[in-house]
Amino acid sequence: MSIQPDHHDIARRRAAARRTAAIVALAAVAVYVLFWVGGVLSR
Amino acid sequence: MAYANATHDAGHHDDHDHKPQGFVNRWFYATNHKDIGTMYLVFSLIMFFIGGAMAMVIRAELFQPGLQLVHPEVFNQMTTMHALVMIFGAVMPAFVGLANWMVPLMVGAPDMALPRMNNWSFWILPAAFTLLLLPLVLFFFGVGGGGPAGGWTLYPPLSIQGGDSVAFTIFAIHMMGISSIMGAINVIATILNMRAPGMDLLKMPIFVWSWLITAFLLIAVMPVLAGAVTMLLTDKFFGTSFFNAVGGGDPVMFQHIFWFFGHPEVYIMILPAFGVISEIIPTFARKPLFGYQAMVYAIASIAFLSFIVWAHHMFTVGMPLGGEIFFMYATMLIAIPTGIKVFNWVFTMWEGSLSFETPMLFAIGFVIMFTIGGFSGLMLAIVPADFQYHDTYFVVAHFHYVLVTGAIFSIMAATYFWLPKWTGRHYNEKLGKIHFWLSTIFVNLLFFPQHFLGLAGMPRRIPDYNVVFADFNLWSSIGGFGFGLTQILFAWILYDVCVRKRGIKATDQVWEGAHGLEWTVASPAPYHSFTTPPVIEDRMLAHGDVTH
Repeated sequence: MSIQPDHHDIARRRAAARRTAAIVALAAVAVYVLFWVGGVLSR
Repeated sequence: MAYANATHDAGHHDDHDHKPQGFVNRWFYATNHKDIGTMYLVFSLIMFFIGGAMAMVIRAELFQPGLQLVHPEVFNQMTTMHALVMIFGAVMPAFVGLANWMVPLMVGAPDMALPRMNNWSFWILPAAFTLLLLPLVLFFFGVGGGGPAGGWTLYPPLSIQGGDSVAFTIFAIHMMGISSIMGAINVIATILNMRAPGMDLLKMPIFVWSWLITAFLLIAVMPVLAGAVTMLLTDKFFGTSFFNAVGGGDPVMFQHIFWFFGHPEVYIMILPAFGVISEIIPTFARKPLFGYQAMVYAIASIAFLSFIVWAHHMFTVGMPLGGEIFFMYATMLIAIPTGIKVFNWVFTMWEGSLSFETPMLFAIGFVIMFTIGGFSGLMLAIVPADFQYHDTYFVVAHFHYVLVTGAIFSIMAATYFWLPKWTGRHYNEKLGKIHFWLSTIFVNLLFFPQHFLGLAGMPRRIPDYNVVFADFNLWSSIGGFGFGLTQILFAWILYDVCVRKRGIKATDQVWEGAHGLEWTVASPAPYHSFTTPPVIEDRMLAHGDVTH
C-alpha cells in the first residue's frame, strides 16, 4: 500500500504534539504529588 | 563485507544544509535533533570514561586483600559515584542520544516535536553532573568531605549522614529527573504526533516502539524518585522524619518508594537495548524480524511487570510471607516475555544469510551474555536463595551482566551500526572486531568470577576482604583493567571516523540488509531531513507487512 503525503501541516502536528506533551507533563506532576501525599499520609 | 552498493535511489534527498553559524549558535542554542543527539552521545561517552575511571579505582583497591590505595571512605564514594555516573550519566543519556538521532529518521518526522525543550533536556545534564561531581573534585583539592558515600540507592539513615554532598546529590538527581522527564515527553509527543502518513503504530521499527514504552516508564517513575529524594532532603535539612524512626518515620518506606522507581529504572536501561538488537539482527541475518508483534507485546509486558516486582530488591528487610511469594512469582513471570524476545532473535538468525560485522558481533554477544544475567536474576528471585545471595558479589555479577554486556554492549552495537549514517563513513572494521573480542574476553574475566565470590559470601561495597577471596578478586581486577584499556580502542575508532575523517565512504543504505526510512536518507544524514513527509511504501519498511 502506498500513501501519498497530503502536504499535511507540520504546524498542526506540532500543536497536537504540544497538547500531548502538556497531558504527559501533568501526569508526571500528578505522580510526584501522589507520592508526596502518600508519604505524608503514611506518617 | 556486507556494505550496500551505491545503487540506492538518491533522488529524493532534501539536503538543505542551513546549519547555524558559529559554535555557540550551533551547539548551545541547538534545536536540531541530530545535533542534540550528537551532544547526548558525546556527553555519555565522557561520563562512561569518568565512571570507568572510578571502576578502575575500585578494582585496583580490590586487586589484593588489605587496604592499599584509597581510604575506605573514598572507596565508598567511588562505588556510589560510579553507579550514579554510569546509570544517569552514561547509559540513559546514550539511549536518549540514540532516540534523538534515530526516532525522527525512523518515523519520517522532520525533527523532534518540541525542539526547544529538547535543548533544555540536554543542557540541564552538564549542570546536574557538575553539581554531582563537584564535592568529589573539591575533596581531591582538600576542600570539604567528599562526594556521597551511602550507595547509589541512597538508603537512609546512612545516606543522610553525609555532609553537604547530600544536598548536592539530591539537587543533581532532581535536575537529572527533570531532564529525563522532558526527554520522555518529547519522545512520546514525537512518536504519537509526528509520524509520516502511512507509518502506522504497528509498522514502526522496534527501536521506536521500545522507546515509546520506555518514555512512559520514565514519566511514571522519575517523579517517584524525585519525591523520595525530596523527602530525604527535608529529613536532613528541615526536621521532618519521613524515614527517621526516632520521629515516627520508617526507613523501610524509603526502600519501597526507591525500588518502585528503581526496578522500572532497570528496564528503562534495557528496553531501548532490546530495540537496538531487534534492528541489528534482522539486518545482518538478511531476514525480517521473527515475531514482530510478539516483540512489541513482550516489551509492553516487561514494562507492566516492572511495576509489580520492586520488593524483590528487599526480601531480607522482612515482609509478610504472602508478599515474598507474590514478588518472587511476579519476578519469575518476567522470564516469559524476555524468553520470547531471546527466542525471536534466535529464530531471526535461524537459516538467515548471516554476516558478522562488528554491530552483529556485539548483538550476538548481547543475546548470549544478557541471558546469563537474566538467569542469575531468576536465581535472585527465589526468596530463600536470595537470603544467601543478598548484598553479595553475586548481585554485582548479575547486574553487571545485564548492564554492561546488556545495555552497554547494545549501545556499542548501535554506535557501530548507525555511525556510517551519522558520519558518512565506515569505521575500521578490523579494529571494531578487535574491540568486540577484547571487550568480550575481559568483561567475562571481570564479572564471571564475581558469581563465585558472591556464592562464597563476599559482601558488596567493601574495600577489604578475607584472603579466601583473593584469587577470584585478582582475576576480576585483571579483567577490569583489560576491559577499561580496551575502551580506549573504542575511543580511537570513533576519533578515527569522526575527527580524522578516515574510513570507506558509506552509501545511503549503508548495510546490504538494512531496511527502513532511516536508510533512505543520504549518508551522512542531511542536517534537515524529511522536511517533506516521505512517501511510504510497505517494501521500504522493515516491518511494512507484519504478517510475514
